[in-house]
Amino acid sequence: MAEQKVLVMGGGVAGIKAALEEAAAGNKVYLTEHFPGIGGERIPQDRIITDGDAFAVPDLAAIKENDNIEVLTNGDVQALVGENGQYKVKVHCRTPRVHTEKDNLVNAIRVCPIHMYDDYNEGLEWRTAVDFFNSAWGGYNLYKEDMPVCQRTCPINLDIRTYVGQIADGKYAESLATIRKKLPFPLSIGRVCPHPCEGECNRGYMDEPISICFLKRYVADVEINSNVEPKIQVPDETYPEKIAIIGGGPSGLTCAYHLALLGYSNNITVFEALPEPGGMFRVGIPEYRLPKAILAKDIEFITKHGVEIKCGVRIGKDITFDDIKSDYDAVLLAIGAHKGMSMRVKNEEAEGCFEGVKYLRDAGLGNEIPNKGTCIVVGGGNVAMDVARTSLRVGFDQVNLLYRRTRKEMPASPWEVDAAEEEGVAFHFLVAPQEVVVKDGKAVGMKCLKMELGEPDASGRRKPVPIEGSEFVMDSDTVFAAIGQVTDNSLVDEKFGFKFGRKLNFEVNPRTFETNVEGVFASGDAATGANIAVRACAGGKTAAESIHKYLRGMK
Amino acid sequence: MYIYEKKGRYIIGFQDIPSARAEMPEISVKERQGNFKEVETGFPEDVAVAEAKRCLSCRRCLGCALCWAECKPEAIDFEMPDEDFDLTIDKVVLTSGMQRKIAPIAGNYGNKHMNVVTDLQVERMLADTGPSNGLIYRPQDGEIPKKIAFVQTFGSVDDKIRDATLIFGINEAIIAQKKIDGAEISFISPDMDALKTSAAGSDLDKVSGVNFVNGTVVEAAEAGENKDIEVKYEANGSEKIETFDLVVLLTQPQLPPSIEDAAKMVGVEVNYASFLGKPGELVETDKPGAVLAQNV
Repeated sequence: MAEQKVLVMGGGVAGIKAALEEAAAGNKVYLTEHFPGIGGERIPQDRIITDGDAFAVPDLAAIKENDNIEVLTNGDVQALVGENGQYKVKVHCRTPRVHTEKDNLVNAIRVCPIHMYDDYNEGLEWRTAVDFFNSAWGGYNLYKEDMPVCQRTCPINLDIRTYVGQIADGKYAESLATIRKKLPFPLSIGRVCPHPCEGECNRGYMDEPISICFLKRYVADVEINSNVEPKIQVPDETYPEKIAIIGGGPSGLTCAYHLALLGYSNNITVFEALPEPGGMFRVGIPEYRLPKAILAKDIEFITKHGVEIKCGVRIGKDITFDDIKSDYDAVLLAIGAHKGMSMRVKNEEAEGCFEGVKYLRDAGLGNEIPNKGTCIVVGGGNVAMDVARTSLRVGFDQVNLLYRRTRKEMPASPWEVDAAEEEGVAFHFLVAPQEVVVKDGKAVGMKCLKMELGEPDASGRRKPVPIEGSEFVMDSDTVFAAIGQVTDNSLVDEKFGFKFGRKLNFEVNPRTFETNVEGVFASGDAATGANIAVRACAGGKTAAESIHKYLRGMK
Repeated sequence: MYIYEKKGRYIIGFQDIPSARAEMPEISVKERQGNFKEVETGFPEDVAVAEAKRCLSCRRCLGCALCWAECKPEAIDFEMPDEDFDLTIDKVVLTSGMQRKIAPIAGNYGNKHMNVVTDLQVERMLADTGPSNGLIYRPQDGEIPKKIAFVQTFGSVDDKIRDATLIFGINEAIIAQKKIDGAEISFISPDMDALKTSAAGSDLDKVSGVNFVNGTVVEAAEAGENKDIEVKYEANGSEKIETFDLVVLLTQPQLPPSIEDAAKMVGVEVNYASFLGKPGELVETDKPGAVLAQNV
């Protein structure tokens, strides 16, 4: 057999053994490893050890001597395409910034002032920014991240280190300007973001993570509390192309803002179906978490950049999508995910049953909503928490929340769950709805089934299994289903041939947010399915950059 | 002032910088009733500034060039670029790597406490190339622990993964027991009886000096000035409380995202158990040219 080319992914004991075997068979081997070194002894997990074989030790000397093995450390496989035994591979190797052969770098370690989380040793110690991964291999490496871990985690890539540092120096206006380079919603996101950045914060290894989200809120609040008019800066010369943005929520408005910064000021029209702009910020998140007056400040900042918002215009009804497409040079679909998912239980169409999202929308718009007696909220996410906490405030005497797993598995943010409980929401865990009990055509209760946790499912969460014969009825005047949202994509005609995903979302190129229809982009929940607000904003920013490239032919 | 000492180096916690994170002030539950007043009221200025000062300003290499001054010329090259390789290959061999699910460990196992470590951390401690040259120690004071508990933290998983993880921990217990004079080691797992009856556990009766308990840990909490760990566990229908110098958490293995992505790109379905066959064997998949290197 002719010489083959083999890629081995992972420079652990198993990878090294495989590389040596493949090389011995006469093949050319590329061994990729994410860390700057390979090897390291391992404790076996396939047998109980006896004397003398405590560790499995890789043969690093054999790897070094073998000319048929090329070791690509600091390397990540970025693409791997092909089939039937022919693959094209892209490997990206981060620079080590060190020529190990020119000096022994022990002294470099001694003087380095940086003491960072020791990812080489499972965080047991601190390591320096210049260090080696495995003394047996060498593999010195000078580690400089493109950005700190908080920024890398932030969907919209906020320069957190800089804006937090500016707060520490008392430079609040500068801090806010840093945030607004990317995010036009500091007042709103500073209140509602579930802050994935804080989960990664390195200070968390020491004591507790920095309160990044609320610091963003702080500098944004300083501006409105001191009545400072924010500075608006858009390019003097603008491009002639007109852009339509359908949906005036987090994603659509962030896109409009960035298009204005890119030079399309006064040529951007946002079409909002509801009477007021803001999307889920306005009609999803309740007033007690994000006051409408505060949200209005963020939106005012955006419109001042030359963004026109036309409210009360529903595309597909007031104007056809065809007209939009022919009147504008580029279109963004940022229509969110405002349609509640069905509980798929009997009688859920009965009077007294509502979609949680529709209820929040009506509450947010000041429409009439049910508010008397007892209600049941079905679901365990943040929308369910918002529905339950809103219900308590509008006047329900008793709010019962049903969730089919336990508190631990709830997808809602833990602080939202705690607040709901403090305020008096009664939680019923391991309870699944079976059927809405109806009397004279109106809901009067819910027939439920008790559950227990079984084996883990595909999501890694333990799957609830019904307990036989455990049916019971919970009385209720009103039932809210808050078990997820999908996109109402009925505004576009079938003839365009848009492709849709599982949540009825528009399928897009994840890098550019382009749909399969030329000149039409989609971002936010309408592209990703229901997700957090800052991710919707991030999608809007990326879509703006893609629209700019598309219009300028920079593809 | 508090000092974090690591490897003979220090990190200072300054007096004007709180170690605890600032709490968001809220209106009381009573004030929230029947209205939509904003619940969270925002940080006052002094709290915001103090909180911002807690930021460690992570940057990794600062470009201070102290190392450059210390080394021979050109040994450190700040401008050295990244490299990209385009390869054409006939075969791709995937390995499982060694990565653990840290996040889902429930708080009751006390993984925030200094003297509670994970099985992978203990593997680094026991390794000669590790940071302590093979010594097992308490992170809190650097003392050698005498009384150690190994504790399973995950619930039901694939049997193969369960056995591999338990045997990994048992091997650590065996090595620790040999290295520490007079060590008392307990190994607490709700799957101990299941392991004993499986093929993987056939050598268990040859292990001496480790007290195997078929039980479930309820809670692990810090106790006393030495920050020992008090472990409350259930075994044989009764609840016991015992204090240990060090607690080792057995954590659930997972594939690194890079391997999961690569498997997806090739079109093979894998999980950690796919790599737990005959040690060292190269197993073909249903995609030609895609091979799984079994763990050694």
